[in-house]
Amino acid sequence: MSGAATAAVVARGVTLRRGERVILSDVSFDARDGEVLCIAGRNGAGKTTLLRAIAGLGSFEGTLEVRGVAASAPAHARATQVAYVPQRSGLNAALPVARVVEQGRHVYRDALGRLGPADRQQIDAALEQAGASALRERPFTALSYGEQRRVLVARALATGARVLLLDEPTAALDLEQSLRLLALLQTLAAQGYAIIVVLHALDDAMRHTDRTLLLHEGRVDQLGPSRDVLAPDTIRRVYNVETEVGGGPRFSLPERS
Amino acid sequence: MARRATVYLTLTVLTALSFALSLRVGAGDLGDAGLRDVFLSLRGARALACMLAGSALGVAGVMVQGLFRNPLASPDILGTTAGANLGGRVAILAFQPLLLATDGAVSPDVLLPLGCLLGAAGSLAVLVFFVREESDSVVLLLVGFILSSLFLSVASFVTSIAQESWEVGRAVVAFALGSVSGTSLRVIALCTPLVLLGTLAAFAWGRTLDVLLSGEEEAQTLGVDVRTTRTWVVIWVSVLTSAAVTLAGSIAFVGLIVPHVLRPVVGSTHRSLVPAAALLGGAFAVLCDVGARSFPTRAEVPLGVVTGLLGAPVFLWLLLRERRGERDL
Repeated sequence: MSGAATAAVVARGVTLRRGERVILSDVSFDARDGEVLCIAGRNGAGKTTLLRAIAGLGSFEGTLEVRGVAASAPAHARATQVAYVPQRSGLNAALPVARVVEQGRHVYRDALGRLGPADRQQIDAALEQAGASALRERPFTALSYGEQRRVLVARALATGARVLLLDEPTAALDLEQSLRLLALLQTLAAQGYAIIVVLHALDDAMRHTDRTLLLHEGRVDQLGPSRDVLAPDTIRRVYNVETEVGGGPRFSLPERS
Repeated sequence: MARRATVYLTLTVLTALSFALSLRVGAGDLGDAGLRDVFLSLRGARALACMLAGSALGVAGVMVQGLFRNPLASPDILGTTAGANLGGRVAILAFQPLLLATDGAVSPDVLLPLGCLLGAAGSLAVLVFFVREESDSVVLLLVGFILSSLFLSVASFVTSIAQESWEVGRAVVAFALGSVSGTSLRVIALCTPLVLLGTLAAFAWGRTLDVLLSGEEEAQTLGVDVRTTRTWVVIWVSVLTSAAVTLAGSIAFVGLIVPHVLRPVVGSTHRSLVPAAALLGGAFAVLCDVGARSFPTRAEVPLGVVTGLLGAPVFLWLLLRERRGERDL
């Protein structure tokens, strides 16, 4: 993982309410280019809400900018800067995978709705990077959940945006797919992307992310290097569980995989 | 790609054949040299009106199902069909008084389309207001439902008033049941650009509608201005449905079934569906009209009745097929 540099995402005093209920309260943080930032916390802590706010979904108080583009900016301006991979896509149409990934280049279509050769190259590269090239002719709805996730990651990569937001990307993935995806996120960070990922598996967060933003009841509880933030004391206080260090199996991808 | 080309070719041939069949079938004898041209021009106008109305509804169905991400959505869901229908009935009702008041300067060929378009425009104005104000498509659906109910109630009232005159009452009922028997080239000339423009617009918005299939929020993160898209789709669906009502009155099921039938054949992308829906919608409506003229009854069976009789079982069959696992849009 490369050293942190420029702030890709800047959030200051983000407060989001639903009716009387405060979902996020005065959340401030920076996400930097070249790092994988994990958003962790218990269910209902506001992780997905925060990720969606960064993606430009939902209205809030405070400021939230992605590379200087405000959350209130037009959708096409934001789409060039930030890409969002939801936990589950709403896509229920049997579109071929290639068409789904093409959607990532939607803002780059010409007046007749066509894509150029550079766009095609970006789509091919995105499919390749996400390990979804073999799926390109298959209907999206015929894919397994894990395959669909790879396609959604490919669509996000195809946007060319250098800030990627992923909501529980490893949920329901098998062990190998999960490790591959986390390795891909680290590789992308090393290439200069800013990755913000919501993770429930804290061991994954510790091993595969640089920093963790721990949310507790809508507030920032801690922000810092993942190994420091996810210390046994903090986990006991926030999650109400004990941490057992060492002893268990440790999984990794085989060499040259 | 080759398969899709075959499908388009087949649909084009089907449309041409249905048109040719429509010219041949009817009460008059084409062997009568003196009347042959008259029969052919009447049947040609009728077939053309059917084709345009069916195409308009098929394309509008593709757009509306894409917008709401719901294969059960139909163009009349927005209330503009009911608005156009009400406008058309009022126009028929107002024709005689206007004829007397203007000393014969009013033509039904202009008044009926004008009534339909004004009715649809009134409904559209309410819809667009809500589209701009509300961020939720469900609200749009509910507004469409309320508008439909309101306009249908008023239209029923107009129909009951129309019964005071036998001729006006008959004309209103024929229009309400869906018919192309009284169509004219002037009405066709007025509606053709609307159908063509609406079809081109559907094709142009196709890529954006593809992205909307992922849901409005995902589409927004991919750079789609959802509100603007929704507004324009609603406008073009209204233009298409009002043209269809002007041409053929209320004809049911075409906009619902045509996209349904085509999706497994040409795929779910809107740019594939739009031309296919224009062809199949047109051919289906023409064939239904041929069926309407072929019933052994003294009075001609209304076109809307035939589309309903054919459409309902086909739609039920499609529903049953989907219940067995193919629920995709």
